[in-house]
Amino acid sequence: MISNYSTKIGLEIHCQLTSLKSKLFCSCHCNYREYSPNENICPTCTGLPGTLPLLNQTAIEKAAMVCMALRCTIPNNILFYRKNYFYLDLPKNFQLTQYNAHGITSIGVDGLLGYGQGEARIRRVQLEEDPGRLSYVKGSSGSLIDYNRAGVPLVEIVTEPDFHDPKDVRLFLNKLASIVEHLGVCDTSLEGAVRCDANISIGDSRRVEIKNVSSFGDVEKALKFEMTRQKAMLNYEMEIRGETRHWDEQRKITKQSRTKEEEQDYRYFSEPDIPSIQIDEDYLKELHSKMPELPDERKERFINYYNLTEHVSKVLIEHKDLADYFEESAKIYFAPKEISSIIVTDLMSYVDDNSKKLGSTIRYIKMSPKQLAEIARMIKEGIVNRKTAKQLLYEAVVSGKLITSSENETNFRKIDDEGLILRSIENVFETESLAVLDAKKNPNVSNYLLGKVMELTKGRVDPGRALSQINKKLLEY
Amino acid sequence: MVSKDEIKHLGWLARLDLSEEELLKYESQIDRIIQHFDILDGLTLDILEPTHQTKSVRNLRIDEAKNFGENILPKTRNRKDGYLKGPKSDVKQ
Amino acid sequence: MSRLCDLSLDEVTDGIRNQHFSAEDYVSHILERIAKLDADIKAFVSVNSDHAIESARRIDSKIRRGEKVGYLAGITVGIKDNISTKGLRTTCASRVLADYVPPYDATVIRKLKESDAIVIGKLNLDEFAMGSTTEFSNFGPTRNPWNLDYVTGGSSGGSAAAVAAAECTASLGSDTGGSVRCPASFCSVVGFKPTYGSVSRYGLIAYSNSLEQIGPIARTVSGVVRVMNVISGVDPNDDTTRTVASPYSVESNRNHLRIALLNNLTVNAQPEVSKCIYSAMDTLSSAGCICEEITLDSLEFALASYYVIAMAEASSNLARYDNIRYGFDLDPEGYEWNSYFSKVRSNFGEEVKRRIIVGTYVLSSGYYGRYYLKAQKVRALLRREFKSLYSKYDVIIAPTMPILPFKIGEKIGDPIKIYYMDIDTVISNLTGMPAISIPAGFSNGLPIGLQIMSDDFQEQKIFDAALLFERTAKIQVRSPL
Repeated sequence: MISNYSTKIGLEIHCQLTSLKSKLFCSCHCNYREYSPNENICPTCTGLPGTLPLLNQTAIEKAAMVCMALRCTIPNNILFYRKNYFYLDLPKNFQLTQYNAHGITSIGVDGLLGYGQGEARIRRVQLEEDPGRLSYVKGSSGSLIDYNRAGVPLVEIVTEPDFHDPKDVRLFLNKLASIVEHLGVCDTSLEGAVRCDANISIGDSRRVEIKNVSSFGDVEKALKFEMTRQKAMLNYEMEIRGETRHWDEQRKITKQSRTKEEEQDYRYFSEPDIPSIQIDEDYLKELHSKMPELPDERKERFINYYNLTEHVSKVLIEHKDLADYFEESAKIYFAPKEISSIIVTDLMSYVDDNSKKLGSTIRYIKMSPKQLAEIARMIKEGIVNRKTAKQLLYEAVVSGKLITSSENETNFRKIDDEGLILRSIENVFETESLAVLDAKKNPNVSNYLLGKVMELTKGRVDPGRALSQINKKLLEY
Repeated sequence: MVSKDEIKHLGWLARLDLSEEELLKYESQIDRIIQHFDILDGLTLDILEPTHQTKSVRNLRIDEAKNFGENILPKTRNRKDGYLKGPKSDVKQ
Repeated sequence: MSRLCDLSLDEVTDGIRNQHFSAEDYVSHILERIAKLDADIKAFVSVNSDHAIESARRIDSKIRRGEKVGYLAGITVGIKDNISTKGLRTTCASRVLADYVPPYDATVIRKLKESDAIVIGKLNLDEFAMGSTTEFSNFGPTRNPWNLDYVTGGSSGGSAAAVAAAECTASLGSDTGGSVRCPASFCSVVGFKPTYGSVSRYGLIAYSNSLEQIGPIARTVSGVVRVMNVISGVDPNDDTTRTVASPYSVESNRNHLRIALLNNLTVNAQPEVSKCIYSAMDTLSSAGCICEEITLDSLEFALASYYVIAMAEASSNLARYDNIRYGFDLDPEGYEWNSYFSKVRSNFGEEVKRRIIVGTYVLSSGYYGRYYLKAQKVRALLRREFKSLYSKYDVIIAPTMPILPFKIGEKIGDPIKIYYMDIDTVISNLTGMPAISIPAGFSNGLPIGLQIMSDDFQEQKIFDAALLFERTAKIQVRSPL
């Protein structure tokens, strides 16, 4: 019976640290995408004789933040290793990476990341350099080499084989993408910024590696294909070979690779040109205090402060862009439910429909968060009905222009009157006396009170100021 | 014993074409070299760990980008549209 | 009056600064000498004539205008051809780099130029610095100025021979397992290997990164000290450099050094060499030093440990020479990549290929713990033992080379015999500690070098001992030619 086979899936995710200014070991630009071939190179990243790697301090910082977010242990000393193999895109014919076989010296180990209903153990996180890129010309048998990408910093995140279902892999990858976005270390919408290799074994069969999956979205498809293929083979009692297969993006199938991995012998040894890097406790403490809000924390805040549902919050935080857009808009006009529902239903489907053209991020739509706030206001105040609102919305999304009526503008102005803010708070404290009592014990409940104040004032007071007034008033109680 | 086949394999790992003559010569020489290295094998140095130079993360290169500003591959004859021309790769085109 | 070429480094800078002669006179004289002698010696692989004359004129006009000139103004420095010189061909004496012109200067070159030293040319070496005789050069062997039939030692044979033949004031070599000290000993000049991390390796074409340092060669100890004062120090382009205690003094102010002679190394040496080293010890005693003999058993593992590490690192360092970014003319069109790489890489010389193969072997899976890891542990062991010795002694002395120079071609068929020549010098590369070779005498007209070693960053102790010995022993420093 097919269903009795247990499936084990492990992942190796490569994530470029796109927020850096320079490469991992030299001062060439990390943003290689803007340059003509071989315009973003120097003696170091092309491996000219006599050059030495100069490790980027911020690369360590960003990688350590990824480790913290994944609850990894960060060792006090880290080393870089040479992975020796020849290839056309590798200027030195070795890759500088990290390695744990001779002692734990990679930037992070033994982490854990929860997603959906499950969690996956993180075996290790390591820093390494990206190779250059190859392309081909029609009618020629040779290759064309561009070193602009060579030396761009990558973090490699390796999980234990803790997944059993490709669907979980997708949830995990979405979560991970949101984390690196929230950390500000990687813009996952850039082509090639995140890549994923997967390994899969079914029952007692040998492990198959799937390489070359260049978008997170395709990983689930590749794994589903591979599971179907392997189960079919097992049903016919064919033996599954331990091998490496490549994902064919066009045909959506996995194909046997021509390179034989078993012939590789990487001859790792620690890079003599890079000293052992000491990462002291104080450094990590400082870094910990600088950690930005992570998706899980943000979700809790969305639920408590904006009163959004678990589901809507989850959808919003899955993409930092989306969550940022929402918050910016809600700051202008406090109608979180209205705004989030427009984003989650209308805007997201627009982005999905146009992802080929624009890239799968809300960043490329022309409508500003302010315009969305305005639409939400018009709905809330009954100025337009939902049907008209939708028309206005699509208009704005495409053109960046919002056709508004100029009437009733006064309602949209911010309330700057301290007395008015205090009166609104008093009102809320009266109607929500039970919540006030709760709030004295549980600070999260003051977010609820703030929500009520925002509702009452139609989002026209500054939430920061209002919250501090609420907290002040709570002390008086 | 380091065999001729092993030398051949090492030649492949290091991408060196070795002639029959070279293989024969290296076989005996390399075997003698390795035999000399074998005195290390008898050592028990369990308490010792390799020493590494150290550097604090705080003293590493500051993340600033700059252009190198010179054509670093001026004499490369095999160029096309800014790309370097290379031999055939094993990825299907 | 003595010839300009025979002047020591200090005499040259003084003479030029005080306008006894011009930098242009001096450089022209040196260039003439190279033209006259180097067809026989073959120390130079490139001569930088035009640039040298131009630089000399610039220095002269600065002096005439009363402007300040650099610390090494007007001296001519020959550079081992594995140190990158911007715009000047840097070949490593290899076919694979025959046409390579670096787009940048090594840090040591930049520092020399900033101190107004003149880069006079590039000097011969064993291919990629792998050898101890300079016979493994694609340009052919360099000849020993003391006897043209004899090897110079290596791998910095060109650097030592050029200084010994007074074809330049001083030179730079690189020392991975003795490559500065060995030829300095064979050619009767002073050669110094600094503490690991004292001198930037940025621009030095790597053979074995964890072992090697660039080091100066000159005819006098003070010449070496002055070059060190320019080239040493922390370099932001080399993360392995560390703060040094420079400037070093050329006034020896210590006569009562505590000295140990490492007698494992004299026991294994040729009798003439051993005799000379004992007499050097007597000279130092007579000058007021306290000398003792010691034995260190763990030295027997040094040579194997050195070659394991050097070859392992070399096999990886030399992987980049695949002819894609630089190299010779061979259109890759039509080749499958593996066969293209294998074909072009076959242009390495015999010794380089041998070391790449052995290096690949010791790193390949299953052997790491047996060889590479053990070799690294031997390093840690030696460091510990020498650290403890230096709590008792200021410096340790030994022969630089266990044998006298020999005839060209005599040992080339037996690579392992050549490896054994390095037995006395590799110690300091493994420990990372500094060591010098200074002329100690001759046997049948063939030079013998005395090696003086000390603790990390204790270069001054070495210089003090060397200056004391140089002053007391009075060995001929004038060029034999």
